[in-house]
This record gives sequence, C-alpha cells and structure tokens, in this order.
Amino acid sequence: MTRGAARDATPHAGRSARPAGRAVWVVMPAFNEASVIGDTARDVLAHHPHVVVVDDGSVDDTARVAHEAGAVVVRHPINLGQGAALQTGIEYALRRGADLIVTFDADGQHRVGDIAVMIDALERSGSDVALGSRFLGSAVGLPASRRLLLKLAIRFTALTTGLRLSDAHNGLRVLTRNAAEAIEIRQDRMAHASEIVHCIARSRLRYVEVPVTVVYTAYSLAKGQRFSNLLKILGEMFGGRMQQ
Amino acid sequence: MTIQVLLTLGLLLCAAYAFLQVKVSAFLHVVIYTAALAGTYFVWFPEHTTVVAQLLGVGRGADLVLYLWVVISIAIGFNLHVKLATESRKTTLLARHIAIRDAWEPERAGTPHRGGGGG
Repeated sequence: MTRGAARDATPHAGRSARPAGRAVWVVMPAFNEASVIGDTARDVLAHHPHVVVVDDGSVDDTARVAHEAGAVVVRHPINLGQGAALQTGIEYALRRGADLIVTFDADGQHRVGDIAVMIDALERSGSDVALGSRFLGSAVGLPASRRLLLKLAIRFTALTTGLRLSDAHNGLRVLTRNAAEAIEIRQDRMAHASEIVHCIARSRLRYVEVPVTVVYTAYSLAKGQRFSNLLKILGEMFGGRMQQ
Repeated sequence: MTIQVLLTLGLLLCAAYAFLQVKVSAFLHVVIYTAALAGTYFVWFPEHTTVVAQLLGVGRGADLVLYLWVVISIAIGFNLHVKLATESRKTTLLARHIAIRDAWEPERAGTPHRGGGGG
C-alpha cells in the first residue's frame, strides 16, 4: 500500500508541517457535468464542507447546479481543459487557507468514503501526497480496453518519471499545502496526470498509494480517456517539455 | 520575365512588411532584408544558385533552394508553435485570474464570503 515514503528511510526535510485542525478543500473540475455534478457535490459536502467546483467553460448548467448543491463555483470564461481546471481549483483552495487539498472527479466515479481513508494514510505515512489506486483497490465495471490503456499509461509514467506507481492516472488525490504549492500544473489538458507524477518526482515529494474504488458507469466511460486520445496526450507532453 | 517581376515585388513587399514591424528584433530585421536581397538576386540570376550549391557540396541550385525552404519552414513552424504556446499560457492565466476573482460562493446563512483574495 505504501510507496515512496515507506521505501525512503530519510524523509526530505521541511516539507511536512502538519497544522492541527486542518482545513480540507475538495477540488472538482467539471466540464458539461450538469447531470451529475449536483449529486457528486452533495455527496462530498455531506462529509467535507469545503468544495470548489471549477466549471471549465461548460455550455450547460454545471455552474448553477453545483452552486445550488452548496459548492463554491469558480468559472473559466472559456474551456481550457482538466489540467487547467485543477490548477485553478488548487490555487483557489490555497488562497482560502486549505491545509489539505483533495482532487475528485465530478463524474461520480470516486467514493466519498475513500477521501477520509486517503487523508488517514497520508497522515500515518507522513507523506506529502496520497494517490488513489484502483489497481490496489478495485475498479468496478472497468472494460478490458480501458484497463490496457491505463496499464500503458503506468508504464509510460514509470519510464518518464522513474516512479513505479500502480495507478498513474487516478483523479483522486490528496495533497498537503506544501505539495500543492510545489506542484504547478502547466499541462492544461489531459497530460496533467503524468505531469503531476513528474512534479512529485522532481520535487522529491513523499507519496503514498492508497487502495480506492473507482466505479465505472456508462456516463463516466463516455467522458473518460480513449485510445484515440493517447497520441494527443503524448503530443501535449512533448510540446510541454519543449517549452520548459 | 513576368514571374521575375512578380517574385521581386513579392520579396520587396516582405522586406517592407518587416520594416513596418517595430516589435521584430533587429537581428530578424537583418535576416529578412538579407533573405529578400539574396532572393531578388537569385530570381534574376538563377544559374548562380548552382555556383553557391556546389560551393556548399550540393549538386544543383534547385536542390539547395529546396533544402533551404525546408529548413526555413521548420524554423517558422517551431517559432509559431512557441508563440502560440506562450499566448495560450497567457490566456490560461487570464481565465484563471477571472475565475478566482469572480468565485461564486454558496449562500450560507450569516457567513458571506468574498472570492479567493481578489485573484
């Protein structure tokens, strides 16, 4: 279950201040999710009072539905991509004094109960980042083609970052404030997941992988990654590296 | 003769356009003027491209022009890519600033909030 932190006997100094009574902010990027965002936001708000939905230029009622559910809504005036939405939500949460930041997909494929488990694992391991892993936990209704795509992504991430994760592209993560400040997502679109892992490796953040459950529905499968996106993501990553 | 006049006019227009671009660096100005001047010369004396090509180890002048064209096209493409990425980054930062500044807080009794610290 524990990676990185468990292997590393000498913790990196100065990255793990743990204030008591910490404020947890849940960041939910959303693009045209009006049909599900209300339920997802309400589920999370029942356990965690600070939820910020980043409406990434939706053309439907995502913002209004999320607001009525009780979440803070920040709205990109144009569609920028999930990576940009995550970074916006993280910056907002940091400005609001977040001590821990949770990233949570809007399509309802994560379980709210896993957030507390991940925070607990983060605290116990003294890590900076907790990464949800559906392959240590369970992936309900995961099609074989999607499994293959995710496994390829894991291999690719291991090759490019040196981090051997069991699940490199899970939207459920918990970041300490220090980790959130160290990670700057510049990949606006889908390559951000690999970029986050790259930032963890580069900043030598301590991480723990936590088993979580991801439930696939027809809705979440339609919104998720496909093979056709793979080359696009590789292109984004290559372009992003060239600019740095 | 007609094509030579047209090409010369086109190259002069390129140089004039570069002259009017105040934001272009002095180095790029020199490159564009030199290219326009060399281009005009070779439009009128195309056989001289073969002399230059042979000096550089390329067989024919036409081949040299083709190679140069490919290299220049790639350089322009790369430059455009970098510029577009820079503009895209600015757009992202602007959209983020607006989004955070105009955060839409939930209506909770008694505790109105302002958006995240004014962007």
